[in-house]
Amino acid sequence: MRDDEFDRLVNDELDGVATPEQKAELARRLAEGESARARYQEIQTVFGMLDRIESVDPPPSLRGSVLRAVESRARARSERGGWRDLLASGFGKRPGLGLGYAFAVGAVVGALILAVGSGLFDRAGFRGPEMQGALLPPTGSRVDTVHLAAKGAQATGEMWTEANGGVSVRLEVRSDVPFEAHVKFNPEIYVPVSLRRVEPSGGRFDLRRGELQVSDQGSARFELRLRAVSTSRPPLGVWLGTSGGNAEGQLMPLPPNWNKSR
Amino acid sequence: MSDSEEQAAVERCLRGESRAFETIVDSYQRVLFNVALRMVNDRDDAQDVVQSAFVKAYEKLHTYDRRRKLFSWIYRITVNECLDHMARRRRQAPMDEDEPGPGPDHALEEREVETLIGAALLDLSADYRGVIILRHFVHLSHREMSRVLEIPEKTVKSRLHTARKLLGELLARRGVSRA
Repeated sequence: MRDDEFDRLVNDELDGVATPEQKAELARRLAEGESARARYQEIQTVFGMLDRIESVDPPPSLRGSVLRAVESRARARSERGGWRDLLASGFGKRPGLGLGYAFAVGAVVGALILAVGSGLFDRAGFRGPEMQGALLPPTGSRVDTVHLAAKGAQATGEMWTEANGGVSVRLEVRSDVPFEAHVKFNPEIYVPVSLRRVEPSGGRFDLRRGELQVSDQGSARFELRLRAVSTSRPPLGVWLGTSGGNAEGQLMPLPPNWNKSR
Repeated sequence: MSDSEEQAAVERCLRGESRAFETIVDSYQRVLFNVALRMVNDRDDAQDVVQSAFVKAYEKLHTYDRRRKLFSWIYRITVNECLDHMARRRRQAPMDEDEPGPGPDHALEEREVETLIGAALLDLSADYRGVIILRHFVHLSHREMSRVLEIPEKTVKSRLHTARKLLGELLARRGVSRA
C-alpha cells in the first residue's frame, strides 16, 4: 500500500467514516510496523489540534449592526421603489404612450434649459428666489481641512467630495518622533472603498472597522476613500498622538455654510 | 431553523419585510463568524466580513436559488467576502513574518494552539482552508459539506485529506511535532 493510501485510511478512521474492512486493514498496517504507527500519530496530532479549537461567540454588536445596515438598505430600496412606481404610473402602465411621454418630457426640459441659458426668464421679469438647500458640493471639491499639532508632530487632514456622495480623506503627518494618527468614521454610514499609501514609509497602518490607524515616524500620507450608505453625513474624527501629547479635530463632510444661500 | 421556516423568512424578506432577516441573522451569525474568524484570523476583520456578507445576502436575496440550501449560498458569499478582504489587506500592508514555533518539546497551551493553527490555515489555499473550517470548526459531516460546497462527497474527502496533510507539514515547519 502506498503512503498516500495509508494516509487516506487514517483520515477516514479519524473522521469516523472508515468501513469495517478499512478498519481491519488499518489495524493490520499498524501492527506491522513502527513507521505506520508514527505516521498515524502525526495525522492524529493534526486532528487533535484542530479539535482543541473551540467555537467562539460572535461579538454582541454584530447582530445589531447587521440589522441596522439591512434596515437602512430596505429604507433606501423602498424610497427608490417609490420613485420607480411614480414613473411607472406615468409610463409603464401606458406603454403605448411611453415614447410620447419621454419625447414630451425631453422637449420641455430642453426648452427650459434653453430659456434659462438665454436669459429669457430674466428679460421677461421672472426672478426666482435665490437657490437654497443642502446641495452637495461638486465631486472633487475640498470641503474641509483640519490642522493638528502634538508634541513633535503635525498632521493635516483634508476632506474631499467623491462621486455618488462619497468622500475621501487625505491625511498627511510630519513627525520627528514616533506617532499614531487615527481617522475615525461611523462604519454604519461610511464604508471604505480604497486606501492608498501615497508616501511609502516603514510604518504600520491598519484599516479597521470605523477607523484607520497609522503608526509611523517621519512622514506619512494616506488617502482613504469612503462610500456613504446613508444620506446623513456625520463628521469624521482625526486624532494625532505622540509620547508628548495628543490633539484631535473633526472633518465636516459639508462646508459649514453650504446650505445657506449660494 | 427548519428549511420551511428558512424559506418563509426569505419569502417575507423578498416581500419587503426586512425584519424577517433577523431570523436568518440569528440562525447563521455564529457559524459564519467562526468561518470568517478562521479565514481571516482576526476578530474585528471577521466581524466586518460577516456584516458585509449578510448585507450583500440581503441585497441579492432575489438572486438566491431556492432549490439550494440557504446556508450554502450565504457561506459562499462569506467566503468570497473573506477572500476579497484578504486580498485588500495584502495590497495594503506587508504580511507579518512567520512567528517562530514553540519548539518540539513545548507543551502547547490552548491559546498557542489557536495561534499556530490560525497562522497555518492562512497559508492554505481558500479551498483547503474551507474544508478544514467546515469539518473541524463548523462540524459538518462529509455529506453536509458536499451539499454546502456543491462538490461530490468523494472530492470532499480527498480535499480534506490533502488539506490536513498540508496543514501537518505547515505545523511541522513551525516546530510542532506533537500536541
